[in-house]
Amino acid sequence: MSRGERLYRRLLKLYPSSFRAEVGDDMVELVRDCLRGVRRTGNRRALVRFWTGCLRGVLVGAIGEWLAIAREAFTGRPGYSNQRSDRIGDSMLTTLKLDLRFALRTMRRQLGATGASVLSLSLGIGALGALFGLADAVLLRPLPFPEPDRLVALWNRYDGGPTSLSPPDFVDRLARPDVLQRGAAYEFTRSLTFERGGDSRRARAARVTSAFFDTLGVPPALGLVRFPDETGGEPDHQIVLSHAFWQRELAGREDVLGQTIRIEGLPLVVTAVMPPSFAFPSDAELWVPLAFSPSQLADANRGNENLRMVARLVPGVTIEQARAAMDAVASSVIERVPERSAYLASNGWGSVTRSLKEEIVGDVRPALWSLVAAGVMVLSVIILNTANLLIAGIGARGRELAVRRSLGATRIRLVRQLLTESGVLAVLGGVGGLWIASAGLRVALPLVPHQVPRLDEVAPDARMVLFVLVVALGSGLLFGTAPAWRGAAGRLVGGRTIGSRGADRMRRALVVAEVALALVLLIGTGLLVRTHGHLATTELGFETEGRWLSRISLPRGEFSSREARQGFAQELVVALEQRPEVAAVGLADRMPLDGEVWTSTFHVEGRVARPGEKALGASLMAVSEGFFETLGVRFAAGGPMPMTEVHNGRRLAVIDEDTAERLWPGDAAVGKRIAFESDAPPEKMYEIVGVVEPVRQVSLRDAAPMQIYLSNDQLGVRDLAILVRGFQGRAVDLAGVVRHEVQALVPGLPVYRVEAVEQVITSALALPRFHAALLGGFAAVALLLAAIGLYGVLSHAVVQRTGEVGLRMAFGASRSKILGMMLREGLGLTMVGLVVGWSISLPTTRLLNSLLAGVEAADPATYLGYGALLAGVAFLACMIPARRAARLDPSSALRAE
Amino acid sequence: MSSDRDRPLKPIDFLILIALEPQDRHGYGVLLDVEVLSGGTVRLDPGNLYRSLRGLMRRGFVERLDRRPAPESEDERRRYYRLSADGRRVAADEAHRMNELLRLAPVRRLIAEPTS
Repeated sequence: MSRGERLYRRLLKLYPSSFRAEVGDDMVELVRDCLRGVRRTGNRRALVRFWTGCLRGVLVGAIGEWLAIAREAFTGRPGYSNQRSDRIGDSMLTTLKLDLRFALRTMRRQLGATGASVLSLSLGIGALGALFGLADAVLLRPLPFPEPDRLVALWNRYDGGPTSLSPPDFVDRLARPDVLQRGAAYEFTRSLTFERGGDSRRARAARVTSAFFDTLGVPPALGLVRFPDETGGEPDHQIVLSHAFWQRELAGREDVLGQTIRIEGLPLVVTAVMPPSFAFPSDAELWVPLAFSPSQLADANRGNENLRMVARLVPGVTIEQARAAMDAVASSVIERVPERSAYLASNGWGSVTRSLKEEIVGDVRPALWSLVAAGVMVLSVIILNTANLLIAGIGARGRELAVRRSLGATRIRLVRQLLTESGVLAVLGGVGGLWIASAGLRVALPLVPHQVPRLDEVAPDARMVLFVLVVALGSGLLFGTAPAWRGAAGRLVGGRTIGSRGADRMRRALVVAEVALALVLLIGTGLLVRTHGHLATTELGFETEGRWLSRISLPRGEFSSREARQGFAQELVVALEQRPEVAAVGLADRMPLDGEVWTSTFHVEGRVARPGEKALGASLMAVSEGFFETLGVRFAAGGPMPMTEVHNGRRLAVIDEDTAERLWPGDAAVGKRIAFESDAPPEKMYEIVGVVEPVRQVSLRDAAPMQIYLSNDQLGVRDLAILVRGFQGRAVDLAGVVRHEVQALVPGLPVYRVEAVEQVITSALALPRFHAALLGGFAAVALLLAAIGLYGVLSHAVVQRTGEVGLRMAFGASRSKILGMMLREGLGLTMVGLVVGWSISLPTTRLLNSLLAGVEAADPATYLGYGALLAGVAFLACMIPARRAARLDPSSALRAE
Repeated sequence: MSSDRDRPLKPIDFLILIALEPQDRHGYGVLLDVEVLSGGTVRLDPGNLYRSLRGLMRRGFVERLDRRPAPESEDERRRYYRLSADGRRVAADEAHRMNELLRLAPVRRLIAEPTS
């Protein structure tokens, strides 16, 4: 079947199915014959004529057939080819055709104004459509798993915040098959090294227990997942690949199953490849089995909380029931495990059960919805502005309309014709908006910070198209109805049009609303800009400039012993310090503000916890001696942990000032000792040798909890962040230096995620910046439109009052007096808009509360400052027409009447 | 006879009946013949042709035949249509009526007397 025939077959869908069944096939055959005939003539214009004819025939015919069916249902008589009603259908069509032709002609005459309206509508509708597409894909649509509503995320909880599970916690929860049909534990993804063609490369891998894929309900695209039972002790050597990894690293080869990949030195057999849509946890590219030995499952291991858990509810079980059951599991642990019960009970230990969707998208919900709300506000301003322009345009045609009315046109008839014009605007705006929404979504998606989840699922789709069309038509009704009704009200009395006073009042109201909405957007933007500024200037506790960060991960085989890792760290530091380009070098297990935080409880020497007293908890970091100097972390007392002393077996620690103040208020912390086990013998205690200024560890918003630094020379961690600082004013490839020295020690060891430390801060700020920038763009558009609205209304007023101005001048009013009079009119409107805007802002900005930092939602400076900005812009917009009024020549102004 | 069948023919219906008078035709044949008959002034598109054809069939003026090979269409099978006895009579009545009307026109000097 040719393309033309397929197109025609699609057009035939417009007909009632009974009609199609009877003659549809014959019609398609006829089209085939016609196309052949046209092609024989080889005339392109004939082809165009044929298709326009076809289109018209189908449209008119389909409407006619549907009307016939409706009539038949209504009157019980066969309705085909009933001439009388054909005439009714024809007359409706004819009127519409007339209105359309007239509307297009009018719009062509005002091409500039029409173009501006269509463009602003397209932008507003498109921006809102794209934001809806984003919010819909991320927030509204179900997760891409079968029956996603039955999936839950399970956590422990200490005093409110969700925390990871220990292996016994996981097994406890699985022991409720009445609630949880299946469940699986998994770890945070880790960056692993694998070998390919002699190259070492890196990929993100997650360790998951046997029921992981079954719980999510996604079977592999290739092969079978047969991970061993999670309580089976040592996991065996299988690996499951993501579709992307398979394509990228193994060229999508069909014979991948059964092949061996060496990961971290271990040979793993590929048993399955997941489908392209599967991404959970979101950054995982590889999945390897996770299983627990009996000792890991023992009560003694309950403190080792590093698992996440996902489970599928038994059909019919609600999330509340699951929550109750999981809470019961947690309380039974407190009763059953006496050695931990006091600790758990005093720390508000419990369980957290929430839907997987909430888990994944809950954090970004307020940000995304506030953007959609801002999009709605901008579109509202655009609608108000368009209505304003329409009223002005219709006002200019007031005489024509009044004449038509006096000649007998009904008001409805005129309204209908004016509505056709705004309908055409809406349709054009909708089409443009559709294009902007889908193109914008595609173009802007890479700019959305990666902290927003599910971005891979965002794409323009039918829901977005439907949304855009509904919004466009709704907008058309909103901006079209009132102007049309008002515009058609004029009548001709004594050769002059009357009835245009209402239109002026309406335009003023519209401008007030525009100013108010623009102010709300400006204030929202202002609050977010303040938040961004606050976060960007937060005292980090460390320096970023000129520091470079590289990461490595020591492979298991060669570096399975702690001594080997300690040795490597030591050699690397020495090698880097000898390089002339390097001013300072430090190692740490992670970079502050990046990656997962390692936390632990601890005890203070000589201090016995009273019953019911909360255990002390701190986040820990393993750092080298040079870490503090390299990052520019300042010491308040003492100094770093010397490598030589640590190698001599001394256990040392550094804490921050906040921690020192909490533990030993008013007393020197240096020299005190802490331990990570209760009743630790003195040789297992850590002596505090330094106190540093607090460092933002987790987020820019909140200060860290208590912070303890331990020596990596003692701990020898596997994943290392290498920090280097160069000399000022010298541009050197420090990253290259680090890579060179690392690979001189371990040939081929990949150095990954190399970045300037400033970059870490930039990505921590990405979401607030994105949010503020988008809202700022919206606010700018709204401000501009409000100014245009004010300008238009005032210009109109100047024209209308020309005679009055001339009279006043003739009676001695000075030019400045006239200027003031006109300005007062415009600024009066602005003031009303500001007051309305402020009162809308108060409840609206409260919705932003969870997104703000360092500024109150009702911040008076922001409210007044942006009000002043808006008033200033309004003043400029009013000044132009007001000066025009003041410059009028009194004698010609008098004659203007 | 039902009221439907009494209603006067629309010009398009009439042209289609005339086109089918000499022989059975398939859709494309009707389309071409109508164009020729009207001197190129009536150019049907598939949509309005089949609306009319369907109406004519329901009123029993046109019969639908089985598909058979159509020589002009590279011998693909096509649906053929035939003028029924009723259809022939209605078309003749219409032609007669128009002829009567036409004879009145020159009397009132609307158009010139046919020269022949």
